Formats: sequence, structure tokens, C-alpha cells
Amino acid sequence: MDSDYKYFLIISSLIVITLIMFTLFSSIVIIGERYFIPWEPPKKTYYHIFPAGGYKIISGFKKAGKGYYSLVSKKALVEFIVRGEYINESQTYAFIVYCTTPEKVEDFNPALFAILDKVADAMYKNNSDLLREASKIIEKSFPRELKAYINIGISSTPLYVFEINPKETLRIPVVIEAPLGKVSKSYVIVFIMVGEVTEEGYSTSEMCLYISP
Amino acid sequence: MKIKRKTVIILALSLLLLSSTVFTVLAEKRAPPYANAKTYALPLRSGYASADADVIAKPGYGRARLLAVAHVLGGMEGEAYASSYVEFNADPLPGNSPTLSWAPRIYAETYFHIKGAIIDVGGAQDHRLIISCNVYYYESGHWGFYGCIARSFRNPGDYNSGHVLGKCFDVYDMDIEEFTVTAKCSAVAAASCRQGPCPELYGAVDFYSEGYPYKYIYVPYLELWLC
Repeated sequence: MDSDYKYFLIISSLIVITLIMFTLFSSIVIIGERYFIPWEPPKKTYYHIFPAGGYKIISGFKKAGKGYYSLVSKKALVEFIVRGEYINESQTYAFIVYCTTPEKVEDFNPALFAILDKVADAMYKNNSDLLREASKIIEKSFPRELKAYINIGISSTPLYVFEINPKETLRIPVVIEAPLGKVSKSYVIVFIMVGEVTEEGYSTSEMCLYISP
Repeated sequence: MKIKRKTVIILALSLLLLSSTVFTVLAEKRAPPYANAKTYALPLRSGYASADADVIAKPGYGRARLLAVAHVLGGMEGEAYASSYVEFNADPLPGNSPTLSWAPRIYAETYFHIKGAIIDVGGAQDHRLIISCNVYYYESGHWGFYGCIARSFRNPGDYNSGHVLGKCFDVYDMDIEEFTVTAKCSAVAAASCRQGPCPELYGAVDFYSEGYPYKYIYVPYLELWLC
């Protein structure tokens, strides 16, 4: 009987010690989290979740290594696919095809932001004149040896505004042309989506296609 | 009821195992795997411009303090441009950021808490704060910028808000070996007047240290997963 009582005491002690340890460590974790989180929480949290998507090479390119593609004909076709996943309601976006160089693609680019501001303002004010202006400026980002445009209907501009519904899939054909069938230096075609335009600002999503000589 | 010594040992081991598992899970949830940061500031001296950046980055969280000021005096011609940025897990290396081998779909997400002010006293050309979640690819020994999700704040005023940036990227290039993500925040201010006499132009993005940590950008997590 004494032996049973001893074992009972040991088990009880272990349970108590475990509970104390658990409480203690949990407190430390909670204190730690309080220390790490901002002292004053944000007034509101916003979710900027873009629809899923990516670009797919259809023709005119071959892989050149290190993430680069090189042209194999004067005209190449790329499909930008937008899937209305991760969005709860219909959303309007402007899709832009912009050209820059690998050295500048990551840096803050005032010229690009001037274009994005103009597009965002056009969307906010529902002003098609501003969109046309922006489209002309975007065209100037391309060098003589490389052109790209969105090929929908009769239009062939580097700017396209569309609406997408949840679970809907859109395929936007983008034609890339090089009159010589090749380029003299490396370029980056940036596929940009502009959306969630509010008075405060706007959101963007970028994806890069690297082109080498 | 007779309790055997073996039962006591098994129970004790089970309890210890259970408690250590709970602690481990909590600890991983609290500490996402990123720990390095990069700062950069570029003031151009035409008119008056200044920029400053500071950062704290530790496993589990990162804080940045940014300042960009551009100022052209009234009655004078001049240009001013200033920018500063902080990128968590910049110069990506496998292991510093969450990394993922090639997958047909990847989801990148991060959270920012921004608290500070965008100031425009006299119609500066540009003043903005940009937060972004950048995705990088790795192929044939080379890291490159793959894409990003970003939010640009342009309106002057005080900010105190949380922002989740997220996107599922479809990847059709099967030669890509790995992906990784970074969190980047930039402050930009520019003022320009080329035909005098000019009005006074002053723009500033001030997510800076005065009263720290009352003005800061806070990044608690950065994630990359299959979608």
C-alpha cells in the first residue's frame, strides 16, 4: 500500500510540474510575442491579395539559361494568364507591358511610377484620356529593336483594362516583336497589374520576362 | 490499485515529450526564418534633399525606420530627390529566406505594419511610401528578380495600418530551381521647379525614429508556400 501511495505521489508531482512548466513557458512565449509585436496595434489591417496568374511562352522564344530567353523569330507570343482565385468579388485591373533593363528592374524607377500614377488616376477618375496618355508613354519605354503589345480584338496597345470575377480565367495574348529577329542587349519585359485604386494609393503586381541577345 | 514502476516511467516520458512538442511548435510559430537586412539611402544635392534608413532585423521580426526629404526654396529654381529603402533578406541566399524548389504554383505573402507620416507642405512632385513582397528565382547559379506584389501610398497624412500582401504566381518555366521572398519598404520624396520664381516645395516621407518605436515599419513574417 505504501508503494502504491508513493507511485501515486510521483505521478501527481510529475503532472503538477508539467503543468507549471507548460504555464511558465507559455507565459514566456506570450511575453516574447508581446515584446515583438508593435506597442500600438494598427487601427485596421488591409488585405492586398492579387488574383493568381503568370505568363506562358507560346512561341518565338528559346531558353538561354539563368532565367533568360532569346528570340528565335521576329515575332513571339506570350500568354499572360489571370485566374480569379484568392479574390472574393469582381475586381478591375489595368494590365501593362513595360520594357526596362535587368540592371534597372529592381530599382525605384521614377518614370515607371509616373506611368503607374497616371494609370491609377485614370482608373480612380474613370478617365479614358488619361489612359490613352499613359499608353503612349508606355510605348516609349521600348527601344527601336523591340516592341510588345496586347493583342485583343483590333487594339494593339501595351495597356489593357479588364474585370475579372472570382474563379474566372482570362488569357491575355501579348505579342513581342523584334524586326531583326534578335536584340543587341538584354531587356526585361515587365507584366504589371494595377488595381485596388483608392484615394490613399494603389497596388501593383509585377512579373518579369528576361530577354537576352 | 497497484501502479507499476514501468507505467510511471512511460507516463513521465510521455508528459515530457508532450510538453517539449508544444514548446517547439509555439517557438516555430513565433520565429519565421529570416534574419538579415539591407539599407540604402541616396540624397541628391540639387535644391535640398536628405535620406536616412535604419533597420533592426532579428529572427521573427524586423523593423525599419525611413526618412526621405526633398525641399526647393521659394523663389528659387531647383531639383531635389531623396530615397531610402530597407529590404529584409536582401541579396537572397537559400536558407536566409523561406525557399521553395520549383513548383507549378507558389504563393508569397508578407505583412507590414506601417506607422508614420507622409508630409507635403508645399506641393512636392512626389512623396510616397512603397511596401512590397519580392519574389526571386534561382537558376544555373544565378538569383534574379521574378516579380512582386506592392502597395504605393501617396497621400499626405498619418498612417497606422496593417497590410497583408499576397499573390499566387503560376510558374511555367521548369528550369527554375528555387524561389525565395523578401520584404522591401521604400520612402521616396522629389521636388522639382525649373522655371523660377518657384513656390516653396517640400515633401517628406517620415517613418523615422523620433519617438521610436512610434514611427516605424514593422514586418513580423514572410512566407512562401505551394498554392
